[in-house]
Amino acid sequence: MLEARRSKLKDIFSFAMKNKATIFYALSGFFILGIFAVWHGTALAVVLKPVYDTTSNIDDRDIARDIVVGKENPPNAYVIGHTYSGGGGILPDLVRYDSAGVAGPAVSVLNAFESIALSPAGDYLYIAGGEGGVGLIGTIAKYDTSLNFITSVNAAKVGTGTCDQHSDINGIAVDSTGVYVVGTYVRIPSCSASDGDFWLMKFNLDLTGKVDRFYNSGATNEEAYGVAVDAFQNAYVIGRSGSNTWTVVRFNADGSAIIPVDASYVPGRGARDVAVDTASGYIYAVGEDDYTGHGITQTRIVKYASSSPWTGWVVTSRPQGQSSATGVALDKFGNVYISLLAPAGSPEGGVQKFNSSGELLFTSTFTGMCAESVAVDDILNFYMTGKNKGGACNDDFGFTSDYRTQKILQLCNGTSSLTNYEIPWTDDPIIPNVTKIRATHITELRQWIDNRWNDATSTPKPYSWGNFPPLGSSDAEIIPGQTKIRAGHINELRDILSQTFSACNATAPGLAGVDATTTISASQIKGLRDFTKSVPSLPQ
Amino acid sequence: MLLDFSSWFRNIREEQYPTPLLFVILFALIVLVVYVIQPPEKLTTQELVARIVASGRISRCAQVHGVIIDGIDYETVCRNNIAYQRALKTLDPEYCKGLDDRLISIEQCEAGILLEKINAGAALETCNLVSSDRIKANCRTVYWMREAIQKDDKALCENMENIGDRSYCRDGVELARFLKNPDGVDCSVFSGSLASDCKNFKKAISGSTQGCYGIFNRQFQAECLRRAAQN
Repeated sequence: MLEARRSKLKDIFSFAMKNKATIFYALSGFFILGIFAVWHGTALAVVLKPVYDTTSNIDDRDIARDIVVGKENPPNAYVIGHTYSGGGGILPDLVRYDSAGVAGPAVSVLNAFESIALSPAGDYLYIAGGEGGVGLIGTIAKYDTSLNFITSVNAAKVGTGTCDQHSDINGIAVDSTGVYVVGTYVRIPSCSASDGDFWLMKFNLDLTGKVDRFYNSGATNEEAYGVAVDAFQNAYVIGRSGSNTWTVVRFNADGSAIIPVDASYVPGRGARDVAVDTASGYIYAVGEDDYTGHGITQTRIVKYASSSPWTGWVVTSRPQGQSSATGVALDKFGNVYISLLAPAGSPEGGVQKFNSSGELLFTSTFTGMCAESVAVDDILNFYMTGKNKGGACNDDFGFTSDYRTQKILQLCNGTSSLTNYEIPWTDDPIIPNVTKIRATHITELRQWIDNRWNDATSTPKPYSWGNFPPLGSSDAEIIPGQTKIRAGHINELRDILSQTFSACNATAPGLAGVDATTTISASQIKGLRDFTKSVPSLPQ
Repeated sequence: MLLDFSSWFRNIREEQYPTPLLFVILFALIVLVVYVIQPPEKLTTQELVARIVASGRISRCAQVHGVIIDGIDYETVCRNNIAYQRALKTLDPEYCKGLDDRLISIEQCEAGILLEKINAGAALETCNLVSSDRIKANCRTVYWMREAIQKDDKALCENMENIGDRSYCRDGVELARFLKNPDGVDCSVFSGSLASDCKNFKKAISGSTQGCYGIFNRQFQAECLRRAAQN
């Protein structure tokens, strides 16, 4: 018996010795997979569910350039793009997708439009674009959300020099005071050498009253690609200066100054898009960084403070072999979404989400997708648009391509730190007319709502307790025997619970029976407890 | 004639009509009201105009006569959109004359249509389809640019009226040649910014891709990046 067991162990040892390389690689694989699983499980705090993924082939090279989400309920998505026909002409299109991705008829528009913006009230669309070249000129046009063409204006040249040649119009933003358009104004002072400047135009909302402003860093050429506006009508224009200089400039609202925000040496095509968090004033610029010197690019995202010294953070990433960030959008929690593409090699692009501290929350990529722009709606659906193609994303001329637009829903991932999904409440159940409502009840509701938020989202909490005057409370801490329980405490709990549901893309319950306008009662506390437990982070 | 329901009610009271039949009649009435006689679909003015534009029937724009939204007369918007879409669809600048010339400029429409036509291969005489001398001149410029590049003949650029355009046209022909055969390019053939782009190209392709970003012409830059990455 002992001999037999010894012989068996010997066989196993002998087998292991003969196949030690295979076993080593297998164990290493399991180890790496295990690490990956743990990392993946903790990093991916949301489930991404495709709502639609639509492509359309209009001509040889169809390229969707930009996307905005409407304010309808449910929201539509509006995409501007252009298609290069076999005959050489450019046939741009403006398309509306409903919330399920069904496209309305595409409206043909003249000129090669590059960007689209929505008026703050959500009732009008503004598009801008126009390639440089003989006979071409930039155009800005206004449409209503039924895609009726209202009016348009040319980005007329300012100079009268016979050699002033062309202008590229690339970016647009709208606030309640006007329409901001940026491009590159090319002067050719001596007909022998050109000099491009950042060109910012501001129009009234009816596209009248054009005011031009220019920025020249001193380099031979500037090219402007995007613009965003803060709450005080300061315009942030991004692009590049000379070669390899990532450039961000603030045009002060009152016309008093043009302030350089960033002029860093970053090999690549410079910053490609910009967004401003109007609540906090933070500015986000995205683009690419050719860090190897051999065309291997990585995405570059920079966060700037709203004033000098502008300090923020820089994050680079390379989810594919090569990656370039093309667009940026912010959600209502201040999270940052970038659209990305692989400039060369296999086309694979998509969206990355970062929190406002620059921590990567997820990467969502799709084969064939070259994402040119990203948008987010109020219930955290994100949208990307671009071109679907079989070859390198940066090569517009070598491969055919189709319009491609995707909408993706973010859901909570169904994990929970609750033991058996039960919350150990004090005084459970609360009995009306028997249980006295105490500070402890409010404090533990706060703690468990915090807990539910952490389970449900990977987003930092956008609130702090006791910070909700005038209807909420100013009590950061509820002290037993001192703090009187008031309607404000109940209001706070309700507000934060609603936000937690929203963060999970779930509709907050009506919170019936938790009406804080009436006398505080046991049933309110019971209702809040039930809703706290039902935050949709439990397995679905 | 007044309707007299008294006999009908009397018949019901006296049970001349059986009760189940009454239920069937009532049910049929509900179905008729709910599913057959539907209230007309409520469209916003803007959606209505979009539908009229899609139909292409300009006479139907009268349906929004006098409707003003944010200071804009939507009957004008309706007529403008139909004229504009017809011009784009047919590439006939004559339709541009149907625009109001205030919200949408006739000249801007004509210039765009001519550009599309020339790019699609139309003849020089096409430029005479409009009356504006400025647009005619712009059209001729685009025509000669296209001809010079397609026929690989820089001499055709001299037909352009503007000196700056001629220089731009010659560069365009050289750039097209370069893109067909990028090897052995002679930078002295370019003028203006393309000359410096060309010099940067030569420097960069034998070194790192980072040198390519000093090139502003997109096609030059794409070729530079492709070649430098191979090194």
